[in-house]
Amino acid sequence: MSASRILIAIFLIPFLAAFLCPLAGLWRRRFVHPITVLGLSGSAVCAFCGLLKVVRTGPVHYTFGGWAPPLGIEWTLDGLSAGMAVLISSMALIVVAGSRVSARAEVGESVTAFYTSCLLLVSGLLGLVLSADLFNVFVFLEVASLSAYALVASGGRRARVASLRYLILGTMGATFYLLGVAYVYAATGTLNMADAAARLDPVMRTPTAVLGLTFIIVGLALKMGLFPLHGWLPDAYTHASDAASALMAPIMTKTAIYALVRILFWVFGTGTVTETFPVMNMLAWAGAIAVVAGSVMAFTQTDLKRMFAYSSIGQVGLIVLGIGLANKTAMAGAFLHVLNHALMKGCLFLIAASAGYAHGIRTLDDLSLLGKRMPWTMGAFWVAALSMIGVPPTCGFFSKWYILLGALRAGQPFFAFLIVASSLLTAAYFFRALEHTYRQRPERRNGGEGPVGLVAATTGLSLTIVSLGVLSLHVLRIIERAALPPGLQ
Amino acid sequence: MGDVILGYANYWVSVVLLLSGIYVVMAYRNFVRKLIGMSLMQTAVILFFISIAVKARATVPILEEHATLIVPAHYDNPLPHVLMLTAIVVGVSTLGVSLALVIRIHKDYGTLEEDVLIRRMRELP
Amino acid sequence: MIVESIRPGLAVASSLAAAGLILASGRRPNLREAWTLIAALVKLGLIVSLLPGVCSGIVYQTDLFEIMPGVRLFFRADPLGMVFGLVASLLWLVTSVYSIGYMREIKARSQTRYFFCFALCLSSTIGVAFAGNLLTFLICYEVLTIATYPLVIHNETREAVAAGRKYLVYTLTGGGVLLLCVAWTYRMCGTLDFVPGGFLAGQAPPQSLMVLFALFMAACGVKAALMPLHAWLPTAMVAPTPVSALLHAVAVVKAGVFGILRIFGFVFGPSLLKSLGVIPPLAALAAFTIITASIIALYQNNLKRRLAYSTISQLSYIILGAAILTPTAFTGSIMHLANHAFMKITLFFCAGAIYCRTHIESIDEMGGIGRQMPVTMGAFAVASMGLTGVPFLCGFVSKWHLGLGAVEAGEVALVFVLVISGLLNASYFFPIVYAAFFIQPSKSFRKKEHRTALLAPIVATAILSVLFGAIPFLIERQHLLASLSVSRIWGQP
Repeated sequence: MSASRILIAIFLIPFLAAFLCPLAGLWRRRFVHPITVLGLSGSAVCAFCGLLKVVRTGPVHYTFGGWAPPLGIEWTLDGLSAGMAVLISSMALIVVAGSRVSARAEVGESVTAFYTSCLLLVSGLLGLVLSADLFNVFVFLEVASLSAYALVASGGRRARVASLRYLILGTMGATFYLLGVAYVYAATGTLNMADAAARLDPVMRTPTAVLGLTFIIVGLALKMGLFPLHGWLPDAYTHASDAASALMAPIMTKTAIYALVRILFWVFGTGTVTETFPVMNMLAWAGAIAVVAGSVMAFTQTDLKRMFAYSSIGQVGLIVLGIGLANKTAMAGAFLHVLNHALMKGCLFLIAASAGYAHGIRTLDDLSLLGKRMPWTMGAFWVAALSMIGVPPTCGFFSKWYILLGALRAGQPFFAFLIVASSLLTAAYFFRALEHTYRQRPERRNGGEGPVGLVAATTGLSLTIVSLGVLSLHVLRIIERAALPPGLQ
Repeated sequence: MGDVILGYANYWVSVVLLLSGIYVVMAYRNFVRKLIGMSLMQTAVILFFISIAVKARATVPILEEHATLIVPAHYDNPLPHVLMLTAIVVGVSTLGVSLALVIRIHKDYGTLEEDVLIRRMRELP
Repeated sequence: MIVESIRPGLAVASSLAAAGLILASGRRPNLREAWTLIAALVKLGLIVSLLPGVCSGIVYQTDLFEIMPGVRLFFRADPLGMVFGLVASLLWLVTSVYSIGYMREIKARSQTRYFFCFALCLSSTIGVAFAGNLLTFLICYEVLTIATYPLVIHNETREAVAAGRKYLVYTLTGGGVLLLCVAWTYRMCGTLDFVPGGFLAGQAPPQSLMVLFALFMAACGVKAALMPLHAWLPTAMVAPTPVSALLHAVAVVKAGVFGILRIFGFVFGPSLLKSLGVIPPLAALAAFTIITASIIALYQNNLKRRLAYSTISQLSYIILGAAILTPTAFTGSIMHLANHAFMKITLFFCAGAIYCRTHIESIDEMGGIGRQMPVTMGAFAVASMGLTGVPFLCGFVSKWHLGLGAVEAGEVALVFVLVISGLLNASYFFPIVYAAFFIQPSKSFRKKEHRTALLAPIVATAILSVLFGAIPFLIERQHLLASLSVSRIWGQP
């Protein structure tokens, strides 16, 4: 298969599967899950092949309908997008494959619609990641978001309210993004990223371009749940069905971060965002505030999934902080943390799904049931929590380490201090949860481990967390070689 | 002064629409009103996009049969219109999903006021 | 001379493997305990097998792989690490036997978790001892912190959980500061490998180095229970006694002290430290800790808490010895690191044995207990005399070197501190011994001495503290190992 076909297959396989799903669902409902898993695994395999190819031979391009890039729509697979594609498709595969039983218990009749939305969500995110066209990014952002609204709404009565609030804020974010694109288009007359990058340089000091930059940042910040624009996130992740939040939490916010990085560094250019307009510095501060705020809010939660959701807000802040420091070390650390945090959050939400399914565990208080009944889940919880805190040798330590080094390199010891402090805050709320698992358990109820799929998924993810930590240097090398923005110091 | 207002009339309209949209979303507690505000915002952006396609003394971008020399400056930019068709589709589907949600929420809770809803949501078992 | 060898790495890995096996055989207690013992024996054997080579000046190294750009994960058995590694692995074996006896005696629950975490702790302790660079050290240090937590809260009572929380707040904060230090060092030097005599000299302006040193001391000072960072240690005494014995007298706190020695000798280096002028405040703090902790110990009625404060005081001996910055005192420090471990673990074992049999924890009720448990209390007497500094017991040897070093450096005030503290030691230990043997019991103790699993370790460690104070050959060997590492640091042949 040629490289450009691989590129398009990454998106097309889950997208076609999304159309196949309802048809199959009409006929036999039990075929829906296998089709979803097949679609996602096809996409994951293609994404892996694409990543290998890109790392070896450089970026791959695809143009639609044979129109040459500035006129036609172009898709690009480079190190960063290939990495994101691998992350999105394989995380989705793990979550969907693992949560079959618990999802069936939660969504019941509407399993066809559920998995169709899953596939649409994943293909939307993949399209967003692969596209090299600003307007295309908007469309896929909305494809993914619409499916996400549906997925959140699948969680029941509360979830519908959460979903509607998410929808309103999410649409506002998309609208801001589109407005920013309009300004960029007005300034350059193009929507192709590479083309816009070349044309933006001379006009960068005009208000048009600056407004474009601002609106795009605000729009994407809303989509990624960057504090204080995070209002939609906790409710959406808490009330969505367990399988849906496990699917969304690791990859949705990350993809918005990806879009931001892509546009800031590949369209506006490293020089522009670090020197002409020091937006990176502002982003770093925003990230720093989000780290602290997210962690503090996580500490006050009593609901397990809500705590994870607030923790996501903090971790998004950490990633944005790493990006905002705008040097190679911190950026590599931030990218590494995108990967690591996706693994950890996926693992944690799957644990929540497993615990909820097996023992109805929803709050921290209920966690005392987890202890001896679910040893495997418990082990995975420990590993994921330690990684969130950043205890070596789990992967969370290494990404934090590089962001920390980046902060020192940027001459910002305050941020370095903040990163350590945020680790301690994270430790505070995770150990608060872990403490509950050691409380005395008077009543003796039946039941043991969660469904096999979930146990396998969480155990596998926790093993990955440890091994990716030990082998983090290899991931870092790939990031440094193929994924860092051009022109970064 | 008059130039600034009249010469940029469509931009001003889009700014006013955008700001009022944001205001409606923020200020009103009723979800249907919020959705109206949301649609206003989308419309504002669509108007803005269409506005940047306009060129002075240019016409609709339809090539006449006998035209031999094509001067781009004589025609409005067609691309934003096409893009906005897509954006409208996206907007309509969003609105569709949101209205579906609104209907379900109204069935479940009997109200669409945000603060009441959040309170009832918390009280659910 | 550096020789590649797999043995230091294996020594770390052996208890890690045991941890896995323990978890796998949780349903069969005898097999599970067998794994613990086998791993302890293997570990001890591996480390002892390194001893002749290390004594003749060889440094064994297990190079694993590069874990960060320019930083490798590797273990290196140098003389300083050997002292700690040897002590920890020797006492693990003893404690394993004791743990098995203790946990079965009190019919503790979750024993699988207990032995699993214990093995994990030992792995990381040996990792701390053999770490070849700051990053390896940091990793092992953090794993040690985390692996100890389930042991501290083992009883799962409200009190234990609260103690665990306090323990974590202190140690994780220390770990965070350590992380900051290590990152800063890496940023400054681009390397983290320990170099005898230090590698920081000339890498940064003195002001930054002073701040860095203060941060390092704060980081390791938490585990070393340097006042005012000590509060977690007495609280953590709610843990089962074997945990207090091994971890809070040997592994965890010694990891902190050992870290300080490492940072003194292999990161900053004595000459840099002297020129920075950061030592007097640290020495003053250590001296303050020695005296204050001893005074507080006088007022403790709970035996384990008294021992905890005694530990705090004794740990600062080691820090003080390092802070005197003369080869003799540093040698004394290293020797005290080992000797204190032998004596303190004996005392904790005794406290545990008493609790096991009689459920007595407070000193008031121990009158006459020596008549029922003569062997236990005899061992207690030996160990407490050793800590006080009675000749022919191992505490005397290391204290002698500390005092000698202080005299050499002209710090007579510090000698005075040592003497005062010796007197205080005597005044909080001897009343217990006196009461145990010479006071009529207030109530009758039904049961008598213990089963062998509990008694043998007590006797063994008590004998160890006698041997290292009375047998010239052993003292010489210990002194050789300590002075070898000192001569590496000071750069003498």
